[in-house]
Amino acid sequence: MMLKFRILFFLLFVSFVCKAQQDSISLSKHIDFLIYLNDNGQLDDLNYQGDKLLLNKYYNNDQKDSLNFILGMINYRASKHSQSLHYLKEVTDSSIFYYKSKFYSGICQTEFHEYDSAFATIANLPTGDVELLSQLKTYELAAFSLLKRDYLGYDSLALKFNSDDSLLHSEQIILNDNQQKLRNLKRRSPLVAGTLSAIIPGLGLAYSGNNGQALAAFIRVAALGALTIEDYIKLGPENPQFIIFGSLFSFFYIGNIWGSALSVKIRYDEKIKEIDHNVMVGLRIPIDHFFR
Amino acid sequence: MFTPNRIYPIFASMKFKVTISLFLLVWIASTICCEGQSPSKDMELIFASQKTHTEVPYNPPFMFVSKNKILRYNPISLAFGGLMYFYQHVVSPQISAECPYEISCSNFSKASIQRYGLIKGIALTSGRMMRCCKVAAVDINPLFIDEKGKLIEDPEQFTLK
Amino acid sequence: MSWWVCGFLLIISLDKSSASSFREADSLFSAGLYHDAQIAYEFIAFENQDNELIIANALLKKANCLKAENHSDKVFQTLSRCKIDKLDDSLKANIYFEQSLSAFNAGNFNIARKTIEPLLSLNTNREMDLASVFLCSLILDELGEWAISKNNLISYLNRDTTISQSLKDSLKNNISLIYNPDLYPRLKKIKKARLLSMILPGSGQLYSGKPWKGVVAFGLVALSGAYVYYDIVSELYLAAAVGFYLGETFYVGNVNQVNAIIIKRNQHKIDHFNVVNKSELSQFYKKISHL
Repeated sequence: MMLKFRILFFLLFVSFVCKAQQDSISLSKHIDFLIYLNDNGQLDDLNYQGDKLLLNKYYNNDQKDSLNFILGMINYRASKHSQSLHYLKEVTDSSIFYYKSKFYSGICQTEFHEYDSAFATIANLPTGDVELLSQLKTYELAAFSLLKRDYLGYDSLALKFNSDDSLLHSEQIILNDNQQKLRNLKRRSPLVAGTLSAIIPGLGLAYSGNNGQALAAFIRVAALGALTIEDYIKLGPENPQFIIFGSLFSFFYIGNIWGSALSVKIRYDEKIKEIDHNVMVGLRIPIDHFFR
Repeated sequence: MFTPNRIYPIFASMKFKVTISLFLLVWIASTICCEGQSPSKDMELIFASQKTHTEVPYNPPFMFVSKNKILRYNPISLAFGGLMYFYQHVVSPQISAECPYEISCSNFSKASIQRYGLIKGIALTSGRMMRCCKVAAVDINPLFIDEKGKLIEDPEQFTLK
Repeated sequence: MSWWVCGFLLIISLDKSSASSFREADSLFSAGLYHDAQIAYEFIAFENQDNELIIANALLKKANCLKAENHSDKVFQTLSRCKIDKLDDSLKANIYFEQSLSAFNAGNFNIARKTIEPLLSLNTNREMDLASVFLCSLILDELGEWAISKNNLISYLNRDTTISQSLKDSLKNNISLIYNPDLYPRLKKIKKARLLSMILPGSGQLYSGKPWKGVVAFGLVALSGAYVYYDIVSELYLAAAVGFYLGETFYVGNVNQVNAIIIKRNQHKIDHFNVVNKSELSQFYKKISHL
């Protein structure tokens, strides 16, 4: 009887251990579940479940790192950059995903225009003697200093550009082109734009860089002008129709000049934004390629 | 004889047996009947609910909303605001107007008058009306076109600084 | 006794079947932890990916959680992940019902109608049958199809075996009182209004019940016509061309405006009629479901 009882209690003990382990052993299963949630488009559930798993005290640091990394990457692919940054920041330097997560969190930070912190994130990465990694780091740092408008920093980093890899090499050339464009971009004179628009309506808009708007403005102002001239010739200067069209024409004429002068600055800002966007797209290409 | 009942007398008590068997019963019952909400309950909820009307988009009144009393109450801006109100409510639905810009011309006009005052506001409006055409989208970068396919333009941009 | 206790504890600890997972998730749901319950149901669906039946059950329960959290707009998308053709009728009916309920709440009446119509031909229990017929009538009412709605209700009465014949007749009487064709709102026809507006600008607006808009439309077209005439008389051909362009814009705009007006007016009339109809239908539903 005593023996039976002992065996029974042993069995009970084993079964409870099994039950307790149900929660902690299956991290790979949990990760599969997260991927399943992502495949079915349940991103809210995924982040909720991820946060819950990260609070589990039975996981060691390595396991938490991989969880953080996976959650960060899924959010990054879904363009949820703030969530992604939140997870990627937590990956510690003992993880095999450390470099990958640092590079991607740098990209996420540029989405919020935090160029300084993005620079600091990657500048502190120890690359050792891995040639490709240090080249990648130099490239990213150069792009960040371009986004910060730190041309001196860019120049010193660009001197180190020396890649055997064809993709990185071509990206470096594109980055250099963008840098040249950004440096040579000069703000055009609002005075010239206004004067041009006064001579031929809409020409100032074309000068500041928008031909479509220029064409539209030219046709409308010219049509109003033609109407006014017709009225002047056929009805004389004292006819109310001439006065109405004349004042309308002068309103639009002045408005067009004023608008052309101010559009110079708008186009300039848009061009800068365009180049910044190109640089930011260029940031992702080599990283997506090397860390596939 | 050595039995568990002697070591742990609680196992032998009647109360314990009753508790265990009740627990077992509840446990088995919960396995069998785990039903969701019934359709009849849903229907009762639906019949009880009232249809909520979709909110009418906010249309600014003909008066300029501004702390500047000169802008607010002077006859020219009242007349201009009235004209704008007339255009937005009477003429614009008549001509099925379609502005290619994100802030439509009339709203741009209101916003720019509120931002820069009457003179610059009217000048900017007339400049804008001259440009308001689908041709204007020709050499705009897709970055500055929103998801509805309209060109983004903000009156705040129209300064020299 | 001790054998019994230990065996019972063993069963609990080794029980890993889907029923026990369902039970755990249900306890989360009844404790009000809806988000946790949703994830627990998703986990069940994940663990039994080759079993369509369990997936459908889990997703249905997840839909319940979503409804409890007031996220009924997500229900349609969640349930569309079920593969419906392999399921039995009652489960199918549940899925269709939840989906069309979600679409109905979101105001997508056409989608709700498409989802609920296959449900009417399935074999289900009386409660589900009744609920789906009434939901279908509510949807059809919103779309202005009162005649079909009435037919559905009558054909339901014909196939219900729990009601006696004499009671059926009085209930049918009740239906024809609720859906009285004389009380149906008179909806305006878009085609007719467009044609009227093409012949005489503004008359379409008058027909659709907005006389002042009609006056403005006619005035604008007439004014630009007069302006063109005046220009031609005084030999201002450029101004005449501009006037013609303006007049054409006003004319086309006036025809297009009629569309929007009529859709808005008809919707208003339908809503007005349905408010009364819904309360009567609700009483009728209570009466019939307690039989």
